[in-house]
Amino acid sequence: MKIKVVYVGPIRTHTRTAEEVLEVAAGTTVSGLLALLCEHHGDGFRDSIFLDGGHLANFARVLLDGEDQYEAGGLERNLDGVQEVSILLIPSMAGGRF
Amino acid sequence: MAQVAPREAVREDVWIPTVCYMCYNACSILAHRVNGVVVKIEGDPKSPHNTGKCCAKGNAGLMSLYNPHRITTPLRRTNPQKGYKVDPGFEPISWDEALDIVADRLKKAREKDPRRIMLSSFDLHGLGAFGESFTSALGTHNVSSGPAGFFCGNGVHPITWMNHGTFYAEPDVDHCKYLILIGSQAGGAVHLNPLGIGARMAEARLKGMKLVVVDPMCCQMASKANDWIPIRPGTDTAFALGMLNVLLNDLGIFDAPFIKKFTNGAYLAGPDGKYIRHPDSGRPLVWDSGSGTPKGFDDATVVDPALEGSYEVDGVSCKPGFQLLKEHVALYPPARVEEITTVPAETILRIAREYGEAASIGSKIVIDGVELPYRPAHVDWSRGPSSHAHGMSAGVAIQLLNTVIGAVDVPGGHLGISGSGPNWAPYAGPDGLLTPSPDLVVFHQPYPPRKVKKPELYEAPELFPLAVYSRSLLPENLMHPEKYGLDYRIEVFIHARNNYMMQTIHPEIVAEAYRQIPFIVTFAHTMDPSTEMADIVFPDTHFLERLDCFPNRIRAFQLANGGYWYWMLRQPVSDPPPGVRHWVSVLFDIADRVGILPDYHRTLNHLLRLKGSNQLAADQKYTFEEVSDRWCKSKFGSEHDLEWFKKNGIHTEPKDVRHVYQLPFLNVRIPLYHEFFIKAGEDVKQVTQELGLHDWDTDDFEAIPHWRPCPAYKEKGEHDLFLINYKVPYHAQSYTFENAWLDDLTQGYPDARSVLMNTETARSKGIADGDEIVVESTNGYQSRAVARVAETIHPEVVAIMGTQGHWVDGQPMARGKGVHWNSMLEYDVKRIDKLSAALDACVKVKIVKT
Repeated sequence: MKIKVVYVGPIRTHTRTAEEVLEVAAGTTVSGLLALLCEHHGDGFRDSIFLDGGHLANFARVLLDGEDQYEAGGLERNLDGVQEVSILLIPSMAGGRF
Repeated sequence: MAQVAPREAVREDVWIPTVCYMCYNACSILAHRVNGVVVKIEGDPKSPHNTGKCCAKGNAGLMSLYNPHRITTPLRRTNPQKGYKVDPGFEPISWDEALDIVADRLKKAREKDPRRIMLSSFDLHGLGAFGESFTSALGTHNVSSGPAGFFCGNGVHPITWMNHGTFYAEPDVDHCKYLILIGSQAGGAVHLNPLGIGARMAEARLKGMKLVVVDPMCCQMASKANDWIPIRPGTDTAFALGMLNVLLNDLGIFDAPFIKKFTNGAYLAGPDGKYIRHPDSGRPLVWDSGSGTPKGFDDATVVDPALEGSYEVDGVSCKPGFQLLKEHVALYPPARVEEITTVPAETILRIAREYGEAASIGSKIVIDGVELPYRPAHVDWSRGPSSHAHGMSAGVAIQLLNTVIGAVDVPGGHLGISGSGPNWAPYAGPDGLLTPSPDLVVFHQPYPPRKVKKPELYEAPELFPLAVYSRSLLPENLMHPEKYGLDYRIEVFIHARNNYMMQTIHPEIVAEAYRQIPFIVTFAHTMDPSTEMADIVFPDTHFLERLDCFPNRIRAFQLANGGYWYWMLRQPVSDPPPGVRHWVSVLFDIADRVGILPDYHRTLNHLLRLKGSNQLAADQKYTFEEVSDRWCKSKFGSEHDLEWFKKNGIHTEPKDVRHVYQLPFLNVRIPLYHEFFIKAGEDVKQVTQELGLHDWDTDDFEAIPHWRPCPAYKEKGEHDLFLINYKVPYHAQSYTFENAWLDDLTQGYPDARSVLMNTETARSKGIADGDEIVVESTNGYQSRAVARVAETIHPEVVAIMGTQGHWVDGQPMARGKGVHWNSMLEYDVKRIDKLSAALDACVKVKIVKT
């Protein structure tokens, strides 16, 4: 299946594109897609979104059709039916939950 | 004969709810406006945050509004020379021209490398998502909250994130019977959420709560305490370790069930200090006393994890973390601690005993029908212990005093602010340790430790994997980027609501750092020394002219135990002067001119959680009012739109007891044994060696802290007194000094402009109360001052209040008054805490009578 991946913020330093369309196998999970993207875009990309031990950094937000993955089922949710995955890298300036 | 002007007829007489911004605490206020003029400010009794109270700063807010020296038009620098006390030669220009100049510089910098743009602001109420979205859309990660991060909270926030999953923690004074404040003014009108805590603290004292204050000077809270314990600056770690020694080894007071269930105190550590791990799962092992075998810490068959003793696992000798803690603190017997801290050994013994007994370990309490552990004793600490070369170690040691008695997020204990809520909670991260909900982490994340690598950013957070920010590195990196492997330069620096020149280090050094930046943009309300370094200045609003949704951000500006969640609106109660705009609203114009509006809106949609028809379209322009209205409606539904908030000021919702006292309801552990510090230190050592930073000290990266002296501790000779800085309730940062009422108040308080010193010390130097003196720092900076002599300060210490000594013409009221403490500090990477990046505020001075 085809998934559109949109990149926002400093993550584009590593992707060198604002968006791309990828062909992934049915049943691919969010983690599976991120692993694929790490392979494509290299260590800089990986280091930007993951902490040591494979935990997603708080600066990295993954949206599934606009909804935060934390609220949309988490990293193990499969992407069937999802049209667009956005990866946002957000500098932290004392924002957070309000 | 003089004529009296006829009294103007009253056409308007209204009280408008809004939110104060005379410090960062976001108190609810009512502004009384008569015929378009704000004539009085009072606390809003409807708000749980400050329950109708308002401090002197808040009352005086209207005097800053009507400051005749406000900036009211964009300005352009004409003098290419930049420096300390150098006239910038500003000339007025139009908004369009100023915006075009800024957009052009941003576009050019962005084309080369977006990291060349940096945004710094301490606008904790209004920026947040707007600043994050703006810099994200620009493509830079170079952001900062500015000067406060040089000293304040560095050794506090990482600890509260690791232990409470949140930015800050505060005393549960409603249920506490024995509170120790170490370098903290909780309950005074400084610190976080002061008015809410202060009122409850007063009630708690009337009900018999004992208050002990450990501080080099008899500060405001010490003056109201049962015990003021004067301590030598920078020795708080030793004091805490000494207290732990008495509790654990002399008295045997600790909460064993709590330590077993909610900490990693039972995890086994080997000779290298690291956990003994299961060979397959990698999980840390505990020794199960029930079966006499090692098991994974979360193995359901563990009967009783051992806290004490020595064991052998696969031929490797090991001990539980708690056992190692007991052995470690035995290195700090009262006599040794007295030598380090000057606190008498018998006082340490007495306070430890009183504290341990007051903890009532094993007791329970029922609140709102829920039975909870009851630990009515704990310690709160703040900037005092934190702003030292080993400041975070102090935080770790002090927090252990709460951990060993189980006084963490339970009634009577130390409470994290908003760690858990209706839709969020900390979770068990690596090795089962508490990891904050991602939305609560608003700076860098201290756990799990971040990857250590060669710095890419100008504050070098990559070298501080356990810190939440590393602001103090900015001047150093601007002046010497090559030392840190930075292969690009900052070209555009945007700052607002902060003042590096006054609030960090000596302004000559800051000016040198600023001179490395080709283009500086500042948003400012009045002229200050940092604004004088700018190339373009935009006039900013006063807080009584601002619109800010929910300035009391959940992470910090909510009382932990206030009974409610609450969201306030800051709304304009006065029109800004023509040509003056809220700086955050200007970011939309800049984003449009730079061509990043679609990404800006996309990220705002996510961070503000704008939903459905309230989402911002990619290319459409919106007023700040429209965005704020969409934010209100997305958060609370269409009936709670911006108009509703303007009328009502605040929305409240009851807070569940499980969110006030979260730990008993979480399946997480907090660190008693900081094993992960060791690996983080090894990584820092390796990277700093590769960078050639051979004197980068990583000794503090240890599982249990040692006390280590600040550099000033070792300095002998004629600079023989420690200099400290203290706060008073009627000033915050540096801008409140340019306020007529607060200036008047300061004049009436003789200590405020003086250098406070101990009576005996003064006598030994031939100095009497009121004498003129010269204070000279080890960095060579001298200042004339008046001595104020009293017994309310440690004999080895002198103290200066606040950030005074203003020098720019645009602040005529504050100009030339008081001593500029920051100029006395030594700025040297050796004096920066390698755990927290706090700059050591411990400096020695010489005092001479003139």
